[in-house]
Amino acid sequence: MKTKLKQIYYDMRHQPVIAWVTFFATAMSVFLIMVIIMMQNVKSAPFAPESCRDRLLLGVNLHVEDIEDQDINSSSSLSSVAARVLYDDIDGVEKISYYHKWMDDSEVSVPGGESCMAQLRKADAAFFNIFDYTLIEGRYYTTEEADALMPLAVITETVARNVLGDAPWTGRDIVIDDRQYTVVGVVRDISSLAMTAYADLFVPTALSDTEGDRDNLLGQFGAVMVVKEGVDFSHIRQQVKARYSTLDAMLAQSGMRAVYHEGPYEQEVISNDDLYSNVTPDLTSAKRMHLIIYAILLLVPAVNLSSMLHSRLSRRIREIGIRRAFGCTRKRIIADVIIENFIVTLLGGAVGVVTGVIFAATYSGLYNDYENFRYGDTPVMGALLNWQTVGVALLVCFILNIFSAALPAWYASSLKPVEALNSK
Amino acid sequence: MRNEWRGNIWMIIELTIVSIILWFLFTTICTIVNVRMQHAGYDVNDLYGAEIKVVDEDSPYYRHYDSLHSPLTDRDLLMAKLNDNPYVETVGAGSNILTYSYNMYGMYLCHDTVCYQGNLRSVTPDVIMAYKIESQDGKTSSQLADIISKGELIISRPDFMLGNRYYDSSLFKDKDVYWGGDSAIVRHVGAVAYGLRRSDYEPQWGVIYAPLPDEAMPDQMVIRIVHGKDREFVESMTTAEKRAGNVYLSNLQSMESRREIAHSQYNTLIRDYLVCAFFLMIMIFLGFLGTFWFRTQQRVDEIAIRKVNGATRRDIMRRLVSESLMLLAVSTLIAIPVELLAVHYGLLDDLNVTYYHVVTLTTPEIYQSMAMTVGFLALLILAGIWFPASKAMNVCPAQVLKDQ
Repeated sequence: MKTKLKQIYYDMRHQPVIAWVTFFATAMSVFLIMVIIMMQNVKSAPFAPESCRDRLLLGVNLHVEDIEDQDINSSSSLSSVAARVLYDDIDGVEKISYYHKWMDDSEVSVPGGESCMAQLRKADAAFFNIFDYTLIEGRYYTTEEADALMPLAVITETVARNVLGDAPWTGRDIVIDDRQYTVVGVVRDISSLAMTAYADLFVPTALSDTEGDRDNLLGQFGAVMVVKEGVDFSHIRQQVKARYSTLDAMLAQSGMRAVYHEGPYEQEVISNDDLYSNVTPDLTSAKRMHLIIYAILLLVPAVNLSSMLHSRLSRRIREIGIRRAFGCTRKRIIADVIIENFIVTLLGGAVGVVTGVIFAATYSGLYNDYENFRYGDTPVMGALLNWQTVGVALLVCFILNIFSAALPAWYASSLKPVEALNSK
Repeated sequence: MRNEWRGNIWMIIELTIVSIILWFLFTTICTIVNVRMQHAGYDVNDLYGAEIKVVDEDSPYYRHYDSLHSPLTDRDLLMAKLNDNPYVETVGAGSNILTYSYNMYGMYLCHDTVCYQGNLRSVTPDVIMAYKIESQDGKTSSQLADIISKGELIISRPDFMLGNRYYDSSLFKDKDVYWGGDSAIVRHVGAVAYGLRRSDYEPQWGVIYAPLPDEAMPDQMVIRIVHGKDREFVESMTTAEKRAGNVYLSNLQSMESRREIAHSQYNTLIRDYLVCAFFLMIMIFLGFLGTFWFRTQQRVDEIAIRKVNGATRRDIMRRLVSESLMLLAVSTLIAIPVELLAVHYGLLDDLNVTYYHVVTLTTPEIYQSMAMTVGFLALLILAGIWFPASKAMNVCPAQVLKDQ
């Protein structure tokens, strides 16, 4: 190993331009791949308050179409009736909560005061059992309070400070869109990167609340579920799919039918698709797109590095010829070239990973494609960096190395000693 | 060049791959930007949008009405208040009237056996005036507003058709149509005008402007203010100014601010594609820098002999530049058929490059992008070989030949 490190050092000193170009190209390639992987990680890795992402399922859409003419259709989130028909009492579900899929831009103030805008989410009491918010004052509203649609609110710390001033905040009244609520709990600010759990304010709703229903089946509700340990998502989906016949029976008189779009969806689908209510999410296409991007980010620098490695090896032809003349095997030459290149790739890769992590952790603009994104929200380190990420980084370096070094190494090893020694 | 054939093949492979990817990225960006640059047909500068809300009857803030008053009289009062504001030019109210809002509440109109489908926007004539909506058939905004006043419909000319049953606006102009296909409800289409788009990055959808009935409560408002009086207007809109009885304005925002939110995903897409293009171009730059650096070092003897035989510094530079551009020419010749085949087989549509835009061999963006790709690559290649070529130009023949 010492000899190989010496060789690399010698190479870098004698061919600094090529060595630095190689190093920089590797670092840049690994940096970009890592940033993309980490952006994906943030969308699917569990972090508070969405610590349950591994077992989370979301059923939020319903699509209804005319049986004879599919151009006549309607789709949105669920009415209270549809939510109950599709998701109540499903086997294998540990916790379920009904909430309004869309948040409202609401005006919040103290009674008689100037208002500020905040994102309001209506959710039942079970919502706080599913997502692990950090309660800093008071309590959450109870199931009984939510069922009775009592005017209670759970707000975030920033809203509490902006609207109510200094603590204590619980027990005080606020006005949200001209309705008066009493603050019962205050939670730590929620990252807008938590796609389902995010809001500035929560007020009670329940399936008895039909205010947001557009018609019998379409409305504002969505269901968020945590499945029991070991239960397969497909088990839940099969039950939901079977329940579409109930919806069809309800729609029969109007000549319409409900279209099943493979729901409810796990976090990977939620994070990779826009979840249009009348389209089946296409995870395969999203995955294929990612693979194409990774392939491009690996292939182009690999061709580049391969070309440069080829040039570097051309300088070492005589050295290789001497080694071959003294009995060094082809396998050994190939292994040496690949290992030397892997060390350089690892060094460049390490720089790429470190700069990638710093960039992904500090530049919040990376995540501005999130719905409701709030500038300044950056992910927690746990969502960015874990053993999986490190493993992927190593794999990327390895693939890059194989892609770029295999052919030049084979070329170098196949040189005949006499030809190599004769070359200039 | 022949001596370097192995290296050249690598460079050609790399250039071909990068050419195709850059072309793909540039085609996407060009298509998106071209849609963005299309004439909108309405003016969102100095325009504010807000939601109109009504206090709930069970709210402690609800004011009970006598027989002479209702939410509609509150609405009129609020509109009058806003019209009295010295910084306000026009106030229009309606339903689904805010651009930069992803509402696709649709309606279809049928004439004989053909139908037109569009995003339904229920407007008062003042909405047309506030947006300064332009006609597509030679009418002024005031004439369009008059058409709405008469209770007639205005439709837009969409850039694409949804489904197979829907047809272009020209078939419906000045015709009586069935509202939602219902022969009992007959309306008249009075004009064709630009439709309010959901985002500047989306092509023109079908849009139906229908008059908002007097007895209907609007849920959105647009306010055109006096040019340059943003700050004064915002300061004048106190809580009291935004309210009349039980009706009040919520989420009052400039259209610029709404646009920023609505465009964020497109801006992100363009940013990501540009970063990708930048990365690839840097790779090409580094590749040429590294390879030509090595190449000029290897060929220092040849360069020295050329100089001894009378080649000028410019000749040396020209030789290296022409070698590198030759590589680009070969790779472009390989890349172009691949790109045309990709268009021919609809691969760009499969990759969701273009939103409701069918890219065919006659689409100008694909050729613009080819030219851009070759241009950018040529510049980067020249930049990449400049340093090695300068070194080669400065070779001292006597010294090199003495070393030999």
